[in-house]
Amino acid sequence: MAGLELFQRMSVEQVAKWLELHPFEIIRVLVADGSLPSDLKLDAGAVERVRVAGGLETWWNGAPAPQGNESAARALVRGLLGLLVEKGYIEPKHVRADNLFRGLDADQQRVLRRSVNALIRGGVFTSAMSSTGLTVAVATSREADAKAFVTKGTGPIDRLWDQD
Amino acid sequence: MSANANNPAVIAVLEEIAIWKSRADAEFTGSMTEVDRDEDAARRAIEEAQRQLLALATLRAELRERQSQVAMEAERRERAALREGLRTDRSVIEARALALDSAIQEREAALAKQLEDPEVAAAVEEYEKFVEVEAQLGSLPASYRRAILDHHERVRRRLEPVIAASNAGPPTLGLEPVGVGVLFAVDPAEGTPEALVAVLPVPFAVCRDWAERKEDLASLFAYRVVAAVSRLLSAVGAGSAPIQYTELAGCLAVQVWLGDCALAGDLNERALEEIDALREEADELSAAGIELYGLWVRATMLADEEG
Repeated sequence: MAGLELFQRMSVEQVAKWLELHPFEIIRVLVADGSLPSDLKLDAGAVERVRVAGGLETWWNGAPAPQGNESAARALVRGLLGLLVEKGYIEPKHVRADNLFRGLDADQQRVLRRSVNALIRGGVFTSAMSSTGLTVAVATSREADAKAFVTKGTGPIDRLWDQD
Repeated sequence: MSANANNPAVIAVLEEIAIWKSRADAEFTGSMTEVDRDEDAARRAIEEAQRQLLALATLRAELRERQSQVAMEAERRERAALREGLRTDRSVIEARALALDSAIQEREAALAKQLEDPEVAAAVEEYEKFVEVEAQLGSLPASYRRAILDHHERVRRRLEPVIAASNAGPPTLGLEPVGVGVLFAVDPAEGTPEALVAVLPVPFAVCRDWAERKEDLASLFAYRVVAAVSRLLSAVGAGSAPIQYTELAGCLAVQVWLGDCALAGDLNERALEEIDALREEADELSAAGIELYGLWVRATMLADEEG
């Protein structure tokens, strides 16, 4: 039999775990939306508002399968660049950085975070700070490089990524 | 007639002149001696005054040095007092968090006992089944759907006391009210602020280890202050200012970069208003006997100790 949780609204912490978003970000999104409940208990509607108002997206349902003798890490990076290009996140259209990792397990997230940092350092991604935290986009000047890496697995990004 | 008597008159005049001159010379010598003596006395007085001036200058420098040490020491003591205050307030919140958690568990255990009543348990089971199929109701014929919804409404009404109790506000602990402070500072202290910091008397773990740590009074306290800071930023036209969460003396610090914002409004006043609003809204703090206040301090008071 179910316990009291069947009747209880969710805590911020529960929603944070569900949405893979820091609790403080949940608060900030709900404040910006003007819908933070005074008792800090959230119903399903509030959760949906966080997801929409915060621009939260889950891009991954597990890691992409490597092609040929490609490593799992390289497949992840190629998959991420493919998603960014497909969704049109080319400068100046930025996406919140935590969207890049949602849906991956902790190890995969760690690998991808390291690669994203390398891509920012290498100028492939531009990054900016906003009220929702770090945002990224593919740099306009590197769009062609990103596409080449996604479709053919070649080009400067391949070399940059190999060096990391 | 004597020889003297026969001296020409001019001799007498010359003698008188010689006497007069001798007297004048003696007077001059006497006066000069007096002037020399007075000059010596004046010179000694000047030397003494110079010695006194030098001593006073040295004393002044020593006093200034002592004063600057006093200012530094006052700042050090003030900084230490603020940190000690944070530590004390944090302990209060942590202790009250445990007490509140215990009271909530006690209340939930009593509620869970109510769920064991066979009649209530049957209603809960029905309620649970409804929740499981609720999403698929749209695919059912309208009459069938209506019947299910009506039945669920009856079940819900039967469970209303349990539902209400499950979502009730925090139980009041009945403890002595204790004041705890959130410290605010802007940098620079004069002119347009480039950064705002709010230091909360809660462990930094509420931010860093939120996924492993059970949500408690300290977490809720942090949520409230993050909400207050967010509202404050919107109110002064800095809603998009980036926020970072850092550790200061083991406590959570909310840091905001304002350098890229054109602030409109009084940050100090609005911050205290937000804290007042927070105090009104936070039932869990009232229940735990926590009285919150905001305190503006100089940013240097929150800086790390040198060395």
